[in-house]
Amino acid sequence: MSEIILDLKNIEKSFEDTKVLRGISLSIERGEFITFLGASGCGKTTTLRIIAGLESPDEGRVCLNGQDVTDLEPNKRNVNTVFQNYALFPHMDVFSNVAYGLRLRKVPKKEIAERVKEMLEMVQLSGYEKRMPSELSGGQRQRVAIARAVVNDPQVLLLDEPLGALDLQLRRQMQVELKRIQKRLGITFIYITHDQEEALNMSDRIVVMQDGRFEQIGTPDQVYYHPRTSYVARFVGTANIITGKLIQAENGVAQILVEDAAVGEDPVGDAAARKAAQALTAQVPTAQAPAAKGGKVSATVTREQAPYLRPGQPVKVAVRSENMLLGRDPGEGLRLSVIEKNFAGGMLRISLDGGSLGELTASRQGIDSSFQPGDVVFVSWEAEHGVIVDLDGGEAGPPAALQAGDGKSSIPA
Amino acid sequence: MGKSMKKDKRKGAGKDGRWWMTVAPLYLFTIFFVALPLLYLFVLSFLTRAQTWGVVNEFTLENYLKIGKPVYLNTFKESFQLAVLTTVSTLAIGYPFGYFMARLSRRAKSLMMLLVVIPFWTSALMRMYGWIIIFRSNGILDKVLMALGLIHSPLKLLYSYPAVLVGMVYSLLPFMILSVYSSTDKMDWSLVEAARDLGASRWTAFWTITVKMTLPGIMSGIVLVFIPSMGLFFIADILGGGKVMLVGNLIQAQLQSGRDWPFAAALSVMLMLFTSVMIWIYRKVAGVRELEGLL
Repeated sequence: MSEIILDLKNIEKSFEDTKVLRGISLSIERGEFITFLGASGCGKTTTLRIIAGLESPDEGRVCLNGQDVTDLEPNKRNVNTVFQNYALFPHMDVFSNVAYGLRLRKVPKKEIAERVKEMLEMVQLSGYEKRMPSELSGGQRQRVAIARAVVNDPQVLLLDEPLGALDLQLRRQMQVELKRIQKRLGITFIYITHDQEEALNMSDRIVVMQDGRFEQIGTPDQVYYHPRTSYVARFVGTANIITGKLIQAENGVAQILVEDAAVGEDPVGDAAARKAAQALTAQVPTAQAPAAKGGKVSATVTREQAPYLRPGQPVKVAVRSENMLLGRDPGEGLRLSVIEKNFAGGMLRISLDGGSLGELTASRQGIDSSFQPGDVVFVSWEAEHGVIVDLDGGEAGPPAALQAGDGKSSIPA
Repeated sequence: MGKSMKKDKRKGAGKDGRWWMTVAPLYLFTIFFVALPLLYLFVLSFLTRAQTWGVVNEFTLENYLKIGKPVYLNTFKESFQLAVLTTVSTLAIGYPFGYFMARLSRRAKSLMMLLVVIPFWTSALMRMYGWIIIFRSNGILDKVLMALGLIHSPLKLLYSYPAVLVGMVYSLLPFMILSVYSSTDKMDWSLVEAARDLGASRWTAFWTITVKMTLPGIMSGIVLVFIPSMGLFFIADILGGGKVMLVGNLIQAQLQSGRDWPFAAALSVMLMLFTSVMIWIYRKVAGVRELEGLL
């Protein structure tokens, strides 16, 4: 097992009466690229500032390299930050900005010159030493900010939405560059973003945050394909959340009955759904099937989830819009109607009226499909594409094993 | 008055080729009330004093040569010393004041601003008389200090150099506070955080970042305090009791009781020259182009 470089233990923080962090814990390994992903106000920046020492937690400890640094001033921590607005010193040229940390540590002049030169080469800003920050473009300032932090050889580099102010093209380019720098230097990166694509693209692990809590900690793969909560499913790629009742869970596949999903008056569709549900009850006599009305859908059940599933209990299924299968033939699945179509970003998005489920979205390659607004469609998906989310084990709260994710995080006592 | 004219200028800016009409009032005002009087002062300083009253139109350098006398040179020296002392004191008090004011909540800020500005609602002259009550023998200050047992006999502060200094600092402090505040209020505090993050102690971050970033405010504060403190004469009159003679007092004396207008004019020209040179040197040394809302 590799070395733990940073340990957050049950951190709590409030500003005035607002709880910003509600007891978060996390262990980060040396050399890891870890991303805190969440909407603004979820507490990710506060977490970063607590690690940097710019904010102190109300409760909990921060351990850096095995040493408790909770009460240490920011200048005593071997952690550097790339600030959201870069915070370059406007009265110093590029060289002095980058050299600032080294000069404070009384590094010999010759060595400073060498290290700054090397850093500026790495961020491809050689020859810009004498420029003032005001004479640089956004992307260049960004790279100066990175060089200024990295030149100090920190154990952990904190990046607070470093690409937020850049345009899309530059962002993509900088994502690649940042990842390259991180690999080359082997520094632990703690990266903050609200852009899920950025997070999925760059991270070894992603921490999805909401309302001062960790919703899920996992690899991009885990977070993308196996969201644990409906929040994660919605935030990391547009997923539809479908609520229903569990009919049965067997061999890793759950059958779920969605009531009230059928809209419109088509008796054929209703009948088909009812028939399907009845057929199911007949096949599986052990299952406590609720009154069969609505559509039947399926979802994957993981080994951890299996013990918490009881027939008849309400469950939520997350399905990505690109996995929604639409058909005209009545069959199993949900009977919905098309509201509108919208082509954007190379994908056709079809909005569906989900009745009490709210609006659902299906997406397709290409610019159009034969479905027209007002059409009745039958929606289903492969069991492997349905993920059961928000499994909270009844009133006892979320099972610890599920929250813990991949086992790397420690759970508050 | 100047302000309303600036407004006129903006309002009237058109493309009809008569734009000069809109700026004309501003220029006329400047010519008649600033340039011409200065020119008059300059010319006057080279004329000869009449035996009884007024001036005779005879060119002379006598007035300027007279300034070279030790007694007058000394007045310049003392004025300069007091001005420097006043400026340093206002900076020492005004910088922390303006700094902490900028970090207050918005409501507290406007309250503080009000408190700083309130003294201006009363005549500066009246406020100086207030200091007499405080400073005089067995005045408020003496009574308080004696009651506390800190001193046993009156300090006799009134009509002394320290009293004049206190009066100067008191009168000019708001200018320093407001100048410093105007730049600390605009300060991007994330720069200080960045410095701390890069390894700077609070103290180092303050000197390398905060002071540098608020330098324009410091500079304009210094200029705003230094210039008037060279010329303020009524404070030395009221609190110095004639014992402290500054350039301002000298000019006033020559103009009124001495009736030597050309000499007073020459002193004024020298004072202006002196302050201008001081500011020029100062800007060279400090190396700052931009002064907060000044020059």
